[in-house]
Formats: sequence, C-alpha cells, structure tokens
Amino acid sequence: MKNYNKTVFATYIIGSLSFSALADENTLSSAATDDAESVERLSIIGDQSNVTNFAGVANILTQAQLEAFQFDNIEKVLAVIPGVNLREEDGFGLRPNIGFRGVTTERSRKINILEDGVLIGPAPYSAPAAYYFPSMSLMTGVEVVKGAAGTQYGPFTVAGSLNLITRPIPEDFSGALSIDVGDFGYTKLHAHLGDNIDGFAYLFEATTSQTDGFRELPNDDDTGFEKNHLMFKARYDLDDQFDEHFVKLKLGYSDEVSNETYTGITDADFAMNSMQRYAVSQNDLMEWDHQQVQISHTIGQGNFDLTTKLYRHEFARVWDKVDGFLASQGGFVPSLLQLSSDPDSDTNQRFYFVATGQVDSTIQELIKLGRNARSYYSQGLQVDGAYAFDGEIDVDLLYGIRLHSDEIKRDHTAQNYFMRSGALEETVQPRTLGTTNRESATAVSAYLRPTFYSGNWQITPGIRIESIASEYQNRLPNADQSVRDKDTTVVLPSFSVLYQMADNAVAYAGVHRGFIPTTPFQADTTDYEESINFELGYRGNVGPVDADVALFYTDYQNLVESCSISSGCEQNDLSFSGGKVVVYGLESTFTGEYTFDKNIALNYQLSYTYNDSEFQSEFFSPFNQWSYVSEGSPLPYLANHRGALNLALRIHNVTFNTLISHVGAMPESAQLVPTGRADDNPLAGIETEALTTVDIAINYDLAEAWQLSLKVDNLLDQVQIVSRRPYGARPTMPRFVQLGAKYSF
Amino acid sequence: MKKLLLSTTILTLTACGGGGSGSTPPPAPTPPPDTTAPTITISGGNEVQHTQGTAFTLPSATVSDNVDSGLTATTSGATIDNTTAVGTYTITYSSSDAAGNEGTATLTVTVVAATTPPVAATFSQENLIASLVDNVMVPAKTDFANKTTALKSAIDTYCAALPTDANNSLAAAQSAWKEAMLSWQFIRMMQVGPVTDNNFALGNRVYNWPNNSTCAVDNEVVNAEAQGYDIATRTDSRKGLAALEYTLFNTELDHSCTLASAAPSGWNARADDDRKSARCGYSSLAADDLITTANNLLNAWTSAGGFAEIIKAAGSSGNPYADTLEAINAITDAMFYLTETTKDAKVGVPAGVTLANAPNSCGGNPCPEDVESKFAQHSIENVIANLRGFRALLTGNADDNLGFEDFLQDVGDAQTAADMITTIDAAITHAEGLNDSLTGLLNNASDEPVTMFNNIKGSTDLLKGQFIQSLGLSLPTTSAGDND
Repeated sequence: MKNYNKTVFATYIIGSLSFSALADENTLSSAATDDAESVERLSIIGDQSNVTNFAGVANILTQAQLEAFQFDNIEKVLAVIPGVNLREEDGFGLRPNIGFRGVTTERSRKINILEDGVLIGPAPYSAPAAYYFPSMSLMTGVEVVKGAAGTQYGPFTVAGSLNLITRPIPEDFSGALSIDVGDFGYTKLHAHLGDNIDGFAYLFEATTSQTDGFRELPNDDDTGFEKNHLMFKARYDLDDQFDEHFVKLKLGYSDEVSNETYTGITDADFAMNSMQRYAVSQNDLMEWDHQQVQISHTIGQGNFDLTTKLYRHEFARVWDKVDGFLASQGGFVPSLLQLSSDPDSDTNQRFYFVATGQVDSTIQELIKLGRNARSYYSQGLQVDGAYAFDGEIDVDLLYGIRLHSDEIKRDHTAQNYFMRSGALEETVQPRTLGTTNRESATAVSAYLRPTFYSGNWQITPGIRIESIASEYQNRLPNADQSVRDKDTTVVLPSFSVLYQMADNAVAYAGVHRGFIPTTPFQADTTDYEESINFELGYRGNVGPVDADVALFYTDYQNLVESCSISSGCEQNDLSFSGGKVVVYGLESTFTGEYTFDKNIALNYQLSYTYNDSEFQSEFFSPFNQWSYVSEGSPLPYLANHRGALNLALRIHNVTFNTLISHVGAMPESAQLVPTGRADDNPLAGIETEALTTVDIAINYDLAEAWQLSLKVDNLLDQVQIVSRRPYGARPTMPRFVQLGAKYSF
Repeated sequence: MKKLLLSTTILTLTACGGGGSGSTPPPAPTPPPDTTAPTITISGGNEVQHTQGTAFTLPSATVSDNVDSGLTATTSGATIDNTTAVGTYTITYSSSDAAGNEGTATLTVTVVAATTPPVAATFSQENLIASLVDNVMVPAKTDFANKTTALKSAIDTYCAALPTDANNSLAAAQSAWKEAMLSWQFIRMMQVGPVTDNNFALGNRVYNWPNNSTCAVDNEVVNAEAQGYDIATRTDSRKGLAALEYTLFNTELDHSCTLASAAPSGWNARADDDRKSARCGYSSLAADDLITTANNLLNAWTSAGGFAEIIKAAGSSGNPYADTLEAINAITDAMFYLTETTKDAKVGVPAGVTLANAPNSCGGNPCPEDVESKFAQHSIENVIANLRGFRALLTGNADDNLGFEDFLQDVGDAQTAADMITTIDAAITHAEGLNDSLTGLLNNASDEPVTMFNNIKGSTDLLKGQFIQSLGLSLPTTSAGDND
C-alpha cells in the first residue's frame, strides 16, 4: 500500500508511550508486526505512519506500551484510548463491556472484536455478546479504529473495531519467562519461545494465572478465577520469486474457571463493606474453553499483496448463576434488582434475609440457579488484498471478501434451592429445561476502498456489503422446532477525505452508514439498527505537543437494544427499538516528550473524551435500561466525561509509569425521574459515581536479561460501584499490588 | 346450561338428631334406635340466582335415609315469584324419617335485577365482552362490595359484645368473613383491568395470600392502638382478608412472631380479654379498609369512562385494546389463575404433587402447613369459588347469556365447549362432596386432594390446549414455559 505524501511524521505517536518503546525504534514504528507479517493484514492500521494519514480516528498501543503496565484487563488497557465507553463488571475484565462512541457496552456486542484481523467473538453474527474475550497476556498490540475509515471491518459499522494482535513469530531464537505474584493470591506464569530455522519459524506461548478473588463470601469460598492460554504459531516461507510468500498456522487453546456472579449487593451493604458477596451467590461458577485454528497464505510483490485466511473457532461455556427467587405458591416475587434496590420493604425484606443467608427459605423464597450452557462455533474464509496504481492520480485499493458462518446452541437448565443455615440445598424438584435453541448465520461480506491521492488531498470512497442468511430454531422438546429463517442484505457506503494542511498537520472528515444486524431470533419484520455517522478531525503538532482532536456525530434512525442477563434482562435476544437517537462528542489525544539528558526523559499522553446523547422521542420501553424515556433522555452507561493521563519517567534504567484515569458519573437508566408506576425503572435517576483511579508501575531493568517490576493498580484504593446491574451493586477492583520478575533471552 | 350462583352463601346442611331420646328401651333383639336424620340434596345446589320479573321454578330435592325410603321434602320460608324484590332469600327444605329424625337443607335465592341494557344473545366478540362485563364481572364486584359492608357490621357487633360475647357474635363475624372470602375467590378468576394495575395493587390490598405475614398482623394490632394510625398507608401483608382471617379465626392469643426482635412488645403479657378486644378493634379497621378497596374497585369499573366502558369499546380509537380479541385475551389470561394458583398453589403444593419449580414445606409429602385459609379451614371452599368463577366465564352466568362456550360454539368447537363444562362441573361436584377440610384430608393421608388436583387439571389442560387454539388466543407469558 502506498504511503500518502512522503512527509510522514516520523516521530508522531498516537498511542501511549514508554521509554522502552522509545528505546526500540522497530517496536515503536510498528504495531508489533514483524517484517514478514506486516503485509499479512493482521493489523488494521499497520504502522504509526499510517495513523498519520488515516482519515479517521485510529489508535495503536504497541508492545512496549502494553508491557509498561502489563494489564491483563482490557478495560484498563483501553483507558488511554479516546472515544471508548466501558461498563466494568468483575474488576478483572474477564467479560468486558466495551463500546465506542456511545454504543451499548453490553458484552461488547456492537463493536467488531478481532484477533489478528479475524473476528474472534464466539458467534459474531448469531450471538454477538462476547462471552469469550482473548487474553491480553498474549497480545503485543492493540488497535482501535472508528469512523468511516474503519468500515472495511464488519458487520458492526456504527462504532468501529478493536483489533488485538498476538505476539509475532521471532526471526531468531528468543523467548522470555516471567512470574508475577500479587494480592488476593494472584499468581501468573508466562512463557514464550520461538525461532526461525531456514524459513520455518515458530512461536510457542503459554500463560496461566489465578487468584482467590477480592470479593468476600460468608463461607470464605474463593471468588477468583484460574485461566490458561496456549498458543502455537508456525510460518513456512515459500521460496520463490515473490517478495513475500508464506503459509502460516495458528493454534490456540484457552480455558477459564471463575467463581463469578451477576449478583451484587444493596447500596447500604456496599457502604458497609463493598467487597461482600451474598451467600445466595456461593455456587455461581463460570467455566469455558475455547479453541482456534487458523491457516493463512500470504503473497506480496511490489505494489500488491493478498492474504487468505481460513479460520475456525469453537467456544463452550457453562455458567451456573443465581437467576432470582421463585415462590411455590405464587404471589409477588421481587427481581434481584428490585431486591437490591429496595431491600427493606415489607414485600422484599424476607427475600433479602434469605439472600444474605441470615434466614432459611420457606417455599415462598426458593432460589433459582440457572445453568446456562452454550456452545458456539465461528468459521470462515477471508481474502484481503491491496493494490497500488501509480499514475497521474495515485490510487491505493483495498479490497476483501469473506464467507463466514457461525452458530450458537443454548441449552439452559435450572435447579431450585433452599437457603438452609447459610448454604444452598437442592429442592426435591428435578432440574428444569430453560431456553433450548439454536441460532446460526451465514454471511458473505465484501468491501472495496480505493484511496485517491491528488496534491494535498486524499479521498476515499468506500463500500461494504453484508449479506446475511440466518436461522433460528427452538430446540425445546415438544416445542415447534421448525426453523425460522431470514435474509438481510445491506450496502454500507462511506466517504472520507483528508487534507494535508501543512507538513505537520492534516484535517479529515468522514461520513458513513452504520449498521448492526438483528440476531436470527428476531422476526424479519424487526428493523435492524442503522445510523448515519459523521466525523471531523484535526491531527498535527502544536508546538511540542502532538494533538489529535475529532468531533463525531451519530444519528441513529433506529437504535436497537436486546436482552441479555448482563444487562439485567431475563429473556435472551428479545429486542427493543429506541427510535431516533443522537450521540455526539469529542475525542482528543495529546502526546509529547521532554528529554532532560540522555538518562532522564519524560513522556506523556493525555486523552479526553466528551460524550452526550439524546433520545429524540418520548416512549415507554420494557427494555430494562430504558423504561419511561423522555425526549432528551441520555443513553444509560455513557459518561459525559472520560479522560486519562499517562506519564512515563525514565531515570537511567528505571521507568516510573503512572496512569491517572477518570470516568464521570453514568446514568443507570434512560429514565431519569420516577413516575410512581409499578413498571418504573428501579434505577430511575440513579447514577454510578465518578471515579478517578491512579495506577503505577515501576520497571527496573536489572541486567541485560532481567527485569523486575512493581505494579500497584488503584494506588489510592478508590472503590466505587461499577454498576447496579444486573442484580445490585458490584465494586471496582480495590488496590492491587503485584511484583514481577522476567527473564528474556 | 345450569344456572350459576352469583351471590354465594355458606352451605348449611344440617341434620338434627335425637328423636329417640327419653323413650323406653326396646327389648332385645330389637335393632338400636335410628338416630340418623335424612339427607336432603337440592337439585342444582344450595344457591341459585333468579332474575327479577321472570318465573321461578322451585328446585326439586331428593331425600336419602339410612332406614326409610321414599321420603320427600317439604319447603318453608320465602316464596319467590316474578314480583319478588331484588335481594337474598332463604327456603328451607325439611324431611323427617319414621323415627322422627328431621333433616333440613337451605336454598339461598338471590334475586337480581334484569340486566339493562339487555345484552344481545347473538354471538359476536363485542357481545361476548359486554355479557361477561354486565353478567359476570360487574355483578361480582358489586357483590363483593356488599359483602365487605356486611363483614364490617358483623365485626362491630362482635366487638361491642366483648368481653363476654354471650350470643357468639364471633361466629357471625366469621361467617361474614367466609361470605366475603367466597365472593373474592369468585372475582379472583377474572382479574383484568384496574385490579391488575401497578402489580395487582388493588388485588393485593384485598387479599395478599400467600405473602401475608401473621407476625406483621400481630404488630399491626398493636400499631393500630396508637394515635393517628392510618390503615390506608399500611402495606398489604398487614391487612385485607388474610389479616382478618388471622384476627377472627386464630384462637391462639399469643403472637406468632418467631424472632423475638420482631414481636410486638409486651403483647403476650396482656390479659386475654384485652388482647381479644385489641384484635377485634384492628379487625374493624381492616374491614373499613376492605370496604374502601372494594368500592374503589367497583367504581373503577362502573364509573363514567370506567373500565367496563373501556373494555366493551375494545378496538375503538385510543382504546388500550387494539381489537376485541385482545380484550378477550386479557380475560382468558386471567383465567390461568386456575392453573397456576388454584390447581398448583392451593391444591398441588399441599397435596405433595410434584410440580416443576414448586416444592412444598414437607419434602414432597402431604403438607397441611401449606394450606390456604388454614385458620378458617376454608381452603376447599375457596377452591370451589374459584371453579365457579371460571364456570361463570364459560357460561356468562346463565343459560341465555353469552360466555366462552358460545365463542367456542361460534368457531365450530362445540365439543370443547361441552368438555369444559363437564370437567369443571366434575371438579365442583367432587370438591363439594368432600366431608373434611383440606387440612383434615391431608392429615388423614386421604387421596382426595390428589383427585381434586387431577380434576382441576382436566379443566386447565383444556384451557391451555383446545380452548386457546380454537379461539385463536395466546397463552399468557407466565404460562408459556409451563412444564406440567
């Protein structure tokens, strides 16, 4: 692909920074891709110089930047990226909720999550809620692309894409071994080893981590997790007349067992001990495993390259968790959210006593534990290529086509329990069947993005086509098991333009059509989500500061949300239309460095995001995050202000990294004022509190091969309610001290 | 079609014995004296509704006796004809056997005004809704309002008679409670409209079983003695028919709280008469609250622009029901009370029938602890009233009224219409024939509770199956995942 204009801002840094990064020019200038792999479209953006000429907001975090803090939690990693909205959940980032530009965060269902340029969600078309998320321990690069320039990735084009890049295969024999220990019984072992032997190169990587967890059960059981990840990559260079020509294999295996729950606590209990968990959640347990196989072929010569990838991912999970209460003889039973919102009322108090294990259940306070077993696959064949035409007007052409299919099978069951002396005891009733269904989708998608270069102008008209055939089947015994199918085809145009204002300054603008498909369960009469998205940005040097500032405006013709338990909603996949909504805001990043002498230097990055949103009509929706919505009501869980300051001070061979991040208060419901009706939102008018967190990491390069690190997440031990959904208040992670040693060779 | 009872009165079959008392003992081997009175069975049951201005036919009766045969019954009491005024009348059937034992049975006749405006008997969905509103649902609410007034009056008489209560006014108050309860249990099958608003706020205020709390009532009895106490502001678990059952029927005067911290302070140390008086005083307040709620409910239906008008105008512009079928579906949704509550909660759970999601308190064994109305021993009567409410919706409360059986016939499914009447009548007949309370039956390990369950299941299976299918209606969401 051709670089626009030769005046590349060689020192321009969009992402965060660290001194080890600055010390290594190779690492800095690429998002952790090696020479051979740079053509292979693992990366969306490529290297930093491409960011400079990117007609949209693109951010890269390099390997060195990721290693400064070694966050396992993607939510922490993304703190410095502007335009990201998050709803934290378990404190570890096990199942993150990520959105960009105000799209719903729930299980990151509205962004494209990619690993090495391939969709990595369990079933992105059939069930986009990303209950599987790759391990950050294995990643050496992170990219976030939003706006018109990012629409070569789909199917979700309202917001953008998050691409995670795994460690490249080394060109020489090399590896590393590290151990970390920390609070809450945390340990992590991590090793990787690779070599290139006469054109056959490989990488083996493994990591295992575990913790007892920071939340506290009355019976002192663990509330943590154990996770394992294995990855093997091999590349074989085909020795022929092309510049680049190789085949590659990637195999991955991951698993997790976590004592994770959706159940939170009341605000009053949170004020007394924010770390407590109720006895009712003691049996909650998530178990999953994930396998992936990817085979690719890449060919590149002069002005063209072409990569073909064949991939299959399988994911299976079982989550046992409290769904709520039942009563043998009926009558009012509060939901867990109603219970945690109002534990002292006449109707709710007895349930509260049972949930906390203080009182035994009667048959009117049965506890229902759902066992939501799901199995997924996602597979496909994708071809991505580039071709550069040189002429009077230079043209870079990006094109691609993908044939993809995925499926989710749900086999939910439930068992009821009594609370007896603080422990859960099964009732005599047999396990019952719950949602038992299958959703699947086959999609053909293609994109074409020519960029025309003329003088100081760079113009990119783009088009993406998504054609989706999907099926839904209720698999419950004795139910109507006939398959319901539908087809959706959309054409998604985009247009972006970049103007070189000066050697060190560009302005850009873009417009594109946003689309989020409906899941197969939805009737074909259900409107999909669509929007028109605008952005306008400036990127350039202001004195010693590199600045990137963009305005965005998302005009939804139809905002669609759907049910999931994480959002506090019981019936999977039911969808709700919110009609017209606008979301707008500002995304900005400022970076720079000061070198005092050759042994002392300071780098900084400041990012700030402003978001605002307005529903355009007044309505009632049974979607539990909305309820009674007024014209002008905001989207739930979108903070107006979000910012982070990242400082890296290097003194000789010690680097002090500091990350100060702030997220403003977030409404927990679109309904702001209770109406007094029974179907009022239990969280109407309630917000999560603003939170400022300070993280530090001190890395000491002891000798050539050894590095020691001391890391403190949440130094000031600021704990706030991350959210009261789905079932009560849950805390942010408290102060977490971690020591690490790493040996590299 | 049989006439169905609008106004329900406690069934009073009495057999007065003692005919041989004082006579000279017969010489052996003469059989022992016959002391058993004849039993009188009135055809069509012990209650009947009669429309004013129409001819009245006295129901026939059969008499059975352990010794004599061919006995007949004579009647005394009220005379009903086409001029009889609106009201409730009693006719007593009597019969004596050769030994002089007299058996009696009481027929209660409720004379109601002819419905105005008359509902057209030709079937249409509009006419069905109008018939159910005018012939079943509104009269039921009127009846309940009247019963709450009678209850209040009986309670006040009892309170005035304390501490001696020489004339056993308590029994009359208990009887008035039973009347009100039966009326409510009849209504319970047709909870549509205002009663469902705000999570059944009105309904729960009347009767909050099974989420009532006797300990809360114990506290409320004491709270009510304070200056400025306003029962209207108190929560549902402390008042209504369930609280009144406890204060009127429970003979244990000590409080029922298991946690000392939750108990009303000093209560158990108070004198018995003082405690009876306090409970009666609270009962009177609770009856007042019930009158208010009953009339609020009635007004919500019958006032100008009320729910009766709204549901009858289903499908008109701005109406909450997009069409008549949607309104009809709201009524059938309410009929699923028979499945979830009458069958499962009231009978299945105490009987120990294995139900998905519904264990009982006795590990699946027969469980008197889980019986409804266990202080009044009124559970079976409650169930019968539910069944009658269900039947009233099928028939429209009278032969010539429109009910769901007419809808079924209109869509060509006369078989289901007939089957539904047959099964509900079988369930009613069986339950009426039981000679013990549900608690008694469970304690005696009788299999009658399971039979009751299965009888009702006959009706609910038809309801969930052919009924809904033939009429093109949908199941209520709460019933869609039912695994039974």
